Amino acid sequence: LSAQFTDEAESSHLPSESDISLLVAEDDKIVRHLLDLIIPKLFPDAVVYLAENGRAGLELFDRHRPRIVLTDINMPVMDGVQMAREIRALKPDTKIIVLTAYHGSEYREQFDEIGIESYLAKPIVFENLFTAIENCRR
Amino acid sequence: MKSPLRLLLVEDMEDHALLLLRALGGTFDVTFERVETPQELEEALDSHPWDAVIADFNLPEFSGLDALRMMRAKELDLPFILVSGVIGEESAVEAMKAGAHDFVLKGKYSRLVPALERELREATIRHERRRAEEELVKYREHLETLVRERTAELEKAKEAAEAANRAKSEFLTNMSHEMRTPLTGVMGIIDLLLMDNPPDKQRPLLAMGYTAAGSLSRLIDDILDFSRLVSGKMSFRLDPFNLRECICSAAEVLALEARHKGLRFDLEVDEDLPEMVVADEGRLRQVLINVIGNAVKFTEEGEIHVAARCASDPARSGHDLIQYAIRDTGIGISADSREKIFEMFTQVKTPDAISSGCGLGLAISKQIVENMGGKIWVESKMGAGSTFTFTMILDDAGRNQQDGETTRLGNSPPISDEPFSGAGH
Repeated sequence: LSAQFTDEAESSHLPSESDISLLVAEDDKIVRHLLDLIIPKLFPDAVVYLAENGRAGLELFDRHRPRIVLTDINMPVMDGVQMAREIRALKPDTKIIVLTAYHGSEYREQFDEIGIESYLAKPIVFENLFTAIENCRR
Repeated sequence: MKSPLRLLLVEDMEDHALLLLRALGGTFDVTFERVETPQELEEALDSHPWDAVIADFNLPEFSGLDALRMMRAKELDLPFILVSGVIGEESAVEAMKAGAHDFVLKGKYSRLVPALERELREATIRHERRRAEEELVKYREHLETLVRERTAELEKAKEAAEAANRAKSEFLTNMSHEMRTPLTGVMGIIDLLLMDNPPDKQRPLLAMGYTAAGSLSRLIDDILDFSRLVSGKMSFRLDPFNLRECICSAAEVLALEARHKGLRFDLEVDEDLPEMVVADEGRLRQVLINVIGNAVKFTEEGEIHVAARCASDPARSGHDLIQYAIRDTGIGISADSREKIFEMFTQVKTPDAISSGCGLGLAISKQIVENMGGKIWVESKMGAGSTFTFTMILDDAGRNQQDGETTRLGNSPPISDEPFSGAGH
């Protein structure tokens, strides 16, 4: 199994004319990999870009301009708050979903200020993930 | 036996001095020094300890009164007796005012011995009193120092305890955060395997794994909530939401579970309930899920009845509150346990107890309900079932929402999933 977990921080899917392109910024390798497996299951057309921190996420975003950003909060190098803020500045209509293990109001004010689409609590319930992404497509 | 006397004589005439010493010699074993000038006096006062000073009133270079003042300036409290050939009333008064202890005429030395003896006694008493007073002062200062030190120690201990509490709370917060990430992996992977049509043999095992991981996730939520409650850090968000939808969706999950157990599940939401209210939806859902979840868990047959209705607030006339009543036909709770089930740290050991989970659910619910301005209580009959009731106040903002006025916290994004609901149990 470990071979699949090599960390390329890049998409395993070829870009297409798909209307769903997602940037996933998550520092936990397993969760990142999991999202890379589950999102194409939920949305077969989806193009997924994987980043292990906010800085890498921002670079990928700048290169590919995905419509939807799914981001963790606590990450090394650059956290999710900072990345979301910079992405908003780059492309204000980007849909942002915040993936959080903090089930409280920590960070909420900061994200409220940036203006995001939704929060997704960890552990991730796939149904909720589906709904959150689905809402961003509209 | 003669008592020793260290005498300082301020006298310019040696023969006068000798007469005086002779008068004292019968009573005292005298060692003395005779000085004539202020300088000599100064040196003598500084160089030795003295028992008494006897000074001539008139000296060529200074007066006996000057000598007295010099002694006083050094804060020496020695018996001081003035001797003079002539004495006017004014001089005597002046001398006594300046602090001389006695005034003796030259040649009338018979009075000198008793006067000196008396003054030595009094000086001794004075010294002892002063020493006692000084000791008292010292003792008091020592006490004050002790109190100050102890206070500082206590302050330090308090700070340390507060820091420890903060650290504990932070630790719990960090831990539960750290635990959720790998748990996301575990649950997600099981979920993925379940989606991939696993062999029939494996499906129930995977489902069990998922359920177990879900329990762990709720446990983490409880621990985090508990640490927040203890540190007073639990936050409440006031956002407008559809009350009926919130109640229905919370009940829905547990209705399914109840029906799986063969229980009847009724939900009765009063028509009068305001449609939109301003409160913390996630926290309300958490309490509902906890209380209804307990009802389902401890009922083996019969029914669960959930009711939500509007009632007037007895504490605030003209205001309404919402009352939620969850009735079951379960095992019931003994009178003793009824008191305890809402307490933190209390895990009732009797068979009727709420024993699964970490026993924090109801304590957390109570705190949440109280924080939202309500109350929670239980009525129960052993073997017949229990009814948990809790209230939620409706403030004016809630009414405003109903009237369609602008929101107080209009900046929040629409929330598509169940964020921060803390799920409870």
